[in-house]
Amino acid sequence: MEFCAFQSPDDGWPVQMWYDGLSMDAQDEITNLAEHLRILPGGKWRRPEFDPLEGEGGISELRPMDVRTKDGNFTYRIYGVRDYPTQNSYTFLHGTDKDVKNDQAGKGIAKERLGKLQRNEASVHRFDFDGLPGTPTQQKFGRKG
Amino acid sequence: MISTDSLVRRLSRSSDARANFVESHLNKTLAFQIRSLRDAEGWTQAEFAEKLGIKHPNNVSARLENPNYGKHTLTTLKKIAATCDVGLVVWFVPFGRLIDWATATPRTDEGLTPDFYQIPDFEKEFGDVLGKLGTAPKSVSVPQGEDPPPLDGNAIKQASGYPLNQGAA
Repeated sequence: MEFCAFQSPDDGWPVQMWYDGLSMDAQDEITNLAEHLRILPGGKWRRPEFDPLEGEGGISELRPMDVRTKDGNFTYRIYGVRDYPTQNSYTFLHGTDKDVKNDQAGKGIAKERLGKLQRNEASVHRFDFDGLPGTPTQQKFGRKG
Repeated sequence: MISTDSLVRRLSRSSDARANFVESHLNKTLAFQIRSLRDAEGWTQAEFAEKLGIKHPNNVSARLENPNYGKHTLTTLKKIAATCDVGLVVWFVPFGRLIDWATATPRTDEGLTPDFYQIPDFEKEFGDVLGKLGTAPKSVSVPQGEDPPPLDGNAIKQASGYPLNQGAA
């Protein structure tokens, strides 16, 4: 399983940038979940960690465990699409700090980006769980771009 | 996916980060393995719970396969192993071994040797590397919310000879 993310000339790398701006604790949890899902056959992805979002135009949702900090609990969600760009890959479309029960806005963003991909108005890049060069994550860890 | 040196750096920031990593990793591993074992047998969650002798089958069996649950008891794990006729190992490991496993870095397993009971903590295992790079040792408090100084992956490799993945995973 390969994890990719949406990119476009207008939007840049929105999911990568969102991830790079998260706390290290949040990144750890997302990365840990992705590492396990990477080797778990797609047919075994289920709730609670994965919601297929039936009837939502092809998008689905990854649900990392809540991140507990001294400032409170934080909930993160990543909307994406399975088997895109190839079978056995998952493309992240939109990442969010989810604080609403039915996140129509987030789903809307994800659907819009999926539409752009399907119309070839956008493409994907391999998602970097270490953080792209020059990003907040890389600045924290001193990796040179 | 995540590279070995990146994971070492992430874990170096605090003992809390390391404890959270262990917990998260363990919870997911157990949940997904239990799910896979049940699927392989073709059992429903209710059937599985009945075979395990668990009361309130649907509720409990679903929890066992929830990666956020984290309250699997050793008794239940042993029952699952016996029911599915598989082995079960529960042992403490140095972080280096866990890191290699989590990053799919090949490692030779030497089996049950005297070293098995010599389990260095993170500072003992990586202290030389981190000390040379100026990262605060465990005895020096790092204010909450702050990250340790940036690390240089090449320096880690040179300092310790610790095998690092070539490029990002």
